[in-house]
Amino acid sequence: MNEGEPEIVKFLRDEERLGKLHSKLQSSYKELEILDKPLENVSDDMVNVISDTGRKTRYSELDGLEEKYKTIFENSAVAITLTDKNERIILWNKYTEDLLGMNKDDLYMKPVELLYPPEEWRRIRSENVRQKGMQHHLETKMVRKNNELIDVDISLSVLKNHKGRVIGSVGVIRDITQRKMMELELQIAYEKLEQRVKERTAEILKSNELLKQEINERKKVEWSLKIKDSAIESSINAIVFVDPTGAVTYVNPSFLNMWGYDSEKEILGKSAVKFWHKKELYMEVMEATFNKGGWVGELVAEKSDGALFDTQLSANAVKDEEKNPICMMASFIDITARKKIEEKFRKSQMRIEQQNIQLKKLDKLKSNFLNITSHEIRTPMCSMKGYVQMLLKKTLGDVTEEQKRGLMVILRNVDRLDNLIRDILDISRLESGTMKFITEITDINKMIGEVAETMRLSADLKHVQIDEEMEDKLPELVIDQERIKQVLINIVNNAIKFSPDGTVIIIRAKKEEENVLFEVQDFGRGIPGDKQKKIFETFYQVDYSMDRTFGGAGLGLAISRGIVLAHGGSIWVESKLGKGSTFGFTLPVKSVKDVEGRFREVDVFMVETDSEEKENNLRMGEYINNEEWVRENE
Amino acid sequence: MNRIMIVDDEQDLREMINLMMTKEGYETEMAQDGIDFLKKNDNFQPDIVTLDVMMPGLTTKDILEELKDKYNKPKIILLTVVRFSDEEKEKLFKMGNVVDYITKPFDVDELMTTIKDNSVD
Repeated sequence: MNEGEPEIVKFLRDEERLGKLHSKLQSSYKELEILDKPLENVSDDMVNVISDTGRKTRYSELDGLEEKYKTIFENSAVAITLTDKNERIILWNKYTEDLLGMNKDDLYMKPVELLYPPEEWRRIRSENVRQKGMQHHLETKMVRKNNELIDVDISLSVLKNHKGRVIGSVGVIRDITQRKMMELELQIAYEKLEQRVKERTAEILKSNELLKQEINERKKVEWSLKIKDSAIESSINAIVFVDPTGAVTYVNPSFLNMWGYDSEKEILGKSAVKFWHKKELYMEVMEATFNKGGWVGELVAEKSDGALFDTQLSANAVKDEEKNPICMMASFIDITARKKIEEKFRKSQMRIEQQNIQLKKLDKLKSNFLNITSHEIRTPMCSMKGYVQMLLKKTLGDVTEEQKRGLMVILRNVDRLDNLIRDILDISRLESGTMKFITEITDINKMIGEVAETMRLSADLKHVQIDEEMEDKLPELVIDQERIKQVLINIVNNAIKFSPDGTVIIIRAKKEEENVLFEVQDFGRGIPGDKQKKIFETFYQVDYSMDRTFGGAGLGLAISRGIVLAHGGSIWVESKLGKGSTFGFTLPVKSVKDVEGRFREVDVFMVETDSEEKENNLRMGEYINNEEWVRENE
Repeated sequence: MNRIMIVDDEQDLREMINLMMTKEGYETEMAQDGIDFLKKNDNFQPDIVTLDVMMPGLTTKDILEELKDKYNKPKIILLTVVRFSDEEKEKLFKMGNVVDYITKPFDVDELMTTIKDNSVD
């Protein structure tokens, strides 16, 4: 027996009492309108109970009790139904009718099964079996008269007689539809709440995320501001912040350093004009910055001790969100050092200019000098040579053999001197870039032929043969024929010099890609490897003794090299000691555009014939060796 | 008889050529610069002139220009230290009168031949 059970249920468990009640009720059947059918199906046990004679005496006892219980039964806010052991409804209270919307006809002796939806009934049944008659309760649904389903809470217990045999069961039913609805509503509300909570949580999380991002952004901005801050603070440039009234609001350490102040306290709040040398310029800068956005330029600044120094200023306006200038940021670089360098540079530029002018003058002088020298030296030789030749020709009378020999020596030496001077002038001109080339279209085959012919005269003296090996139709070259001949003659001369008697010299010429290749091969003693490049140097002689005998100052190959290079070619020697040498040079087929241009022109007509100038130039010869002049023009 | 004027500012050379040509049977005259030459040219009226290119006073160009207007136009042989380019040769020869040039120092024979080639005979 459970606590909290309705009284009626407790009562109904008391079989004796129930039996008694039943008897009493039975006797009242005729009076009560509930029953209009005879109790055909009343169980045997019930009959036994009814026929129990001892019952009469109990009836009066039961009357009061019955009244009591009837009241409870009828006025109960729960539905109570009794069923017999065949599960047919035999008794119920008013509430049951209300609950189910049914009347006596719907209920009396009807299978209680009808009150339940089929699947629920199955459940009830199995539960019953499981409980083995023990009182139990469960939640289920019932079917109202109008087929509407209601949710109920049923407490079921079996009724047993005094002998312990099941005589029926009683069910106490509570309409929990409301409750169920409320439960459902609650559930829905709960779910809604959960949903809302979820949503809200999600919102919050999102919000959180955004907040985090914002914080990150802020942090970044803070960082960059910090970096900028420290950049300004640590900048080598002096940085000043000035408000629109002209008062200094911030200076960085470099400023203190540059202007010679010990602490910012001396500066903050003071007018910035104090640090400028010129007040007007300061006003100009302020105006330009606050009205036009900035100012760049040089200005003279004034240190704490009054000393002035040059600065480069870059000022700009710091603006707020509405683009209004709120203060000026001025950045200074001390350009004192730079200005010094600029000055130095300017001075050195001027010096270079002057030197250039001097050099040009010198060049012209040199060029003139060479021309004069050339003329002045050659002229006396004319007379010398002329007279000697005339004497030898006996134009001025007879000459003895001895005299003749003497004259020939003079003539030979005049020639030697002439050649030497010519060489010196040539090398001078080549080195100073003043050699004049006269270019013309040249038949190479013919040119080589002429050279060979000329050289055979001296070659024959040593019984040296000169052979020509030329390709048939060599291209015509635009060259200074005279000078190229000079090169060939020089090389062949050397070859003859170093060829033993009876040997041969071969002059070759052939076209090789974009050049014409010239070669002069001898079978003399050859040139040692370490000297092969040096022989092209000015004044270099492989064999001093030999060269002195034959004349020459070691300039021939240097001049040849100069001429070949001026034509855009190259010159070299291949030699093996004891086997001989092959001198080679190339000349490009396409003439170097400006052979004359490569070396500045010497215009014959321009050479001064003005006596004054000539006189000056003669004196110039003295000058050039004059140390005073040199020092003067440094 | 051929008349030759020797124009050179170098006395020795002047006299040498003078001697040479006299021996050859030419009538000779000497001048020491452009102005001297132009003056004597009208009087002496040479057939051939050896003219030194580098002399004080008038430039070779000036001298040749002046000659154009003169009645007597002798054949000019230039005596020069430098070589001329074809262009310059052309320019010179166009100025009329210039027939050849010889580089100094020259072979006596070379000069002789050139003069003889341009002489009337």
